[in-house]
Amino acid sequence: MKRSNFIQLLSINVIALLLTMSCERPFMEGNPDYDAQENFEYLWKQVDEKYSYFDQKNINWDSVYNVYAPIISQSTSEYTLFSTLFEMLGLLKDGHVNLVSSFNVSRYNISHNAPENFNWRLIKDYYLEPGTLNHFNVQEHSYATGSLRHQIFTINNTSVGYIYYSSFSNPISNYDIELTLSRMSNTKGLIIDVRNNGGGAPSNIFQIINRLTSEKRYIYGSRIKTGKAHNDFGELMEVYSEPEGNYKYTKPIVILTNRNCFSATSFFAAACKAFPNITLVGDTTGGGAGAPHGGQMPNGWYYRFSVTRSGYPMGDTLYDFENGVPPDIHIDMDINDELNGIDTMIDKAIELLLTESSAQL
Amino acid sequence: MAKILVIFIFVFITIAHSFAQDTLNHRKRLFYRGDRQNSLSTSFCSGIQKTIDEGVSPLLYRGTTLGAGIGYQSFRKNKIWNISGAFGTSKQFSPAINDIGYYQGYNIDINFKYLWNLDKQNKFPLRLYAGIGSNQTNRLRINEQMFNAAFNYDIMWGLGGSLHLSKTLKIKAFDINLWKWYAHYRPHKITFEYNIDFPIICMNLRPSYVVIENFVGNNNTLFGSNTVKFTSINEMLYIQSDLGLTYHLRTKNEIRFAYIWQYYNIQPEYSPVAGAMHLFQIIFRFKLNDFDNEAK
Repeated sequence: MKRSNFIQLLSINVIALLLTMSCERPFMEGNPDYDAQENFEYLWKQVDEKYSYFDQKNINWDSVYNVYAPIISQSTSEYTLFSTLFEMLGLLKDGHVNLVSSFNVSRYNISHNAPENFNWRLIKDYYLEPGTLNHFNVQEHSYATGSLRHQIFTINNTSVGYIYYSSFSNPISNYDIELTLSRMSNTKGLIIDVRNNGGGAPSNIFQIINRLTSEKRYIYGSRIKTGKAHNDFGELMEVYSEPEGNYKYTKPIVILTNRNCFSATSFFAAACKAFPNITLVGDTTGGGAGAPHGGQMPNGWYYRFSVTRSGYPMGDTLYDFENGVPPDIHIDMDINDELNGIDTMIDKAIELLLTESSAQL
Repeated sequence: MAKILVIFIFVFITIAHSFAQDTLNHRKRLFYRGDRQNSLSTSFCSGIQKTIDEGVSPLLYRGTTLGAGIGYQSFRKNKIWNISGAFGTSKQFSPAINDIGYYQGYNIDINFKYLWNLDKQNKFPLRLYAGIGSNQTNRLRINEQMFNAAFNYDIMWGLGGSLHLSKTLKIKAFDINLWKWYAHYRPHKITFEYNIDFPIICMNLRPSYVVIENFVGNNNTLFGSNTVKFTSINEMLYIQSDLGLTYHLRTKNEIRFAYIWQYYNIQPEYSPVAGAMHLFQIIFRFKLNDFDNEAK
């Protein structure tokens, strides 16, 4: 091998190496040194182009800009920037809107000024577990099957089932739901209590409702934001429940809701509107019909907000439940009942189910 | 970067010299077919990975990646076909000091190429092969801070041209005599190689980042297969090149030290993404048979 050939070849290789090492740099400009003002602009624009509920909530996002933009300057501290953005995003009145920094998380209180309508300690002591306090003199402890807590109440030789589901984030397996519902097979009616259920995985909605029907039903429709204009939405996607599983419960059912029911729980409540044997009792849910989109700001903070709309069929139209699913029968917990160990909403549900049961006889 | 380079050079030199003094093994190898050289390879790589996924963030994420792979190559004087697969993992961070998240990345690559010799008469000083290449590239990322957009992915398949240039040089034997330490370096061959793949027909799959699929049915279409898009270089640019130095051992096995550069850029309407990797790779190639034509 000639030394000159070797050096020539080596030089070509080194040049090729150096060229490819930095080849992508012009196409990967991803380190913008943004200041507070530019971060504000970035988030405002992301929301402007992607948020899905401006029209329905009657929000003029341009005027929001005019109010908040002057507050932010290039030298605004990150704490001031965060609190300003917190306040600005709060105007969307949406529980699916959050801004996350290393020192704080912005949020919207979905149950602001609404009655609590739920007392877990009371339910355990007076309804679920055996003991002197129990209203139904139950002899057996409640079952905890996966994430489902269930008990059977006997009133004048008539049985009513009760299931409490605390979070749609907790998975429900086929085994869990089928065992629970088959345990309810001899009851005359069923209460499904989803109060204080803040949502989670929508797949769990179908694990339940597909076993409450013997026929396919149109339960809700969704549209996804596709363009930058505030009313640019794609085609309606219709969602159906379809019978599933070995055991189906098609007797009268009452769903208990309160204002802390959010997101997937609101979807669940909305889906139940399509079932003639299901009655929603309690308070309007907290809403959350828009599926959220997550992202990151140039300064590293994370955000999310709704980018879809959903509604359940009501006549020829869809009722958008972003602001909550209203109950069929509105009832709040009575403070005096609560002091006496009575859950007004559960008792109302039992009364309804017993009435329907006797009417069927 | 410099540290990784130094470590690889050290490992390469150490292993190369330990093999270099082996005597020739004349045992018959598997699958003997004298008209071609079949070989199996195993590889290890490390380097830098960069990602900018504008669907969820304007920030350029950057971090180190580690990987390993296997491959099979059949080399004939006039044809080369090669199939290889690799898996890697990476951790990428943004430059924002307020960023409490990071990308945990997983890379899966499957490459196939079939090349023909363009210079059968050996008129050029370099060996030149060209043909078709198919690349399946999967870049999966998780940033748990991104709520419903926590799972990011770029799944790409490309079919296009592939080019291979090589030049083999012989290093003559020489002696090293350092005071009481003496070594005889036997003659060896080294090959400089350059490969580049440039897909023309492409398919990509990107998330819409609107996690609505499971809200609108009981179908958890995890990868949103309805968003698969066939495209070409106007919407998707995807280049992979590697520059390598192969050291031919006296056992006829090979050690290859390579620098790999990979870049892709997908520009769908909703969420553009670009990614790049700079990898230093070491390949141990085990020959399965003898080859009548040793010149490469």
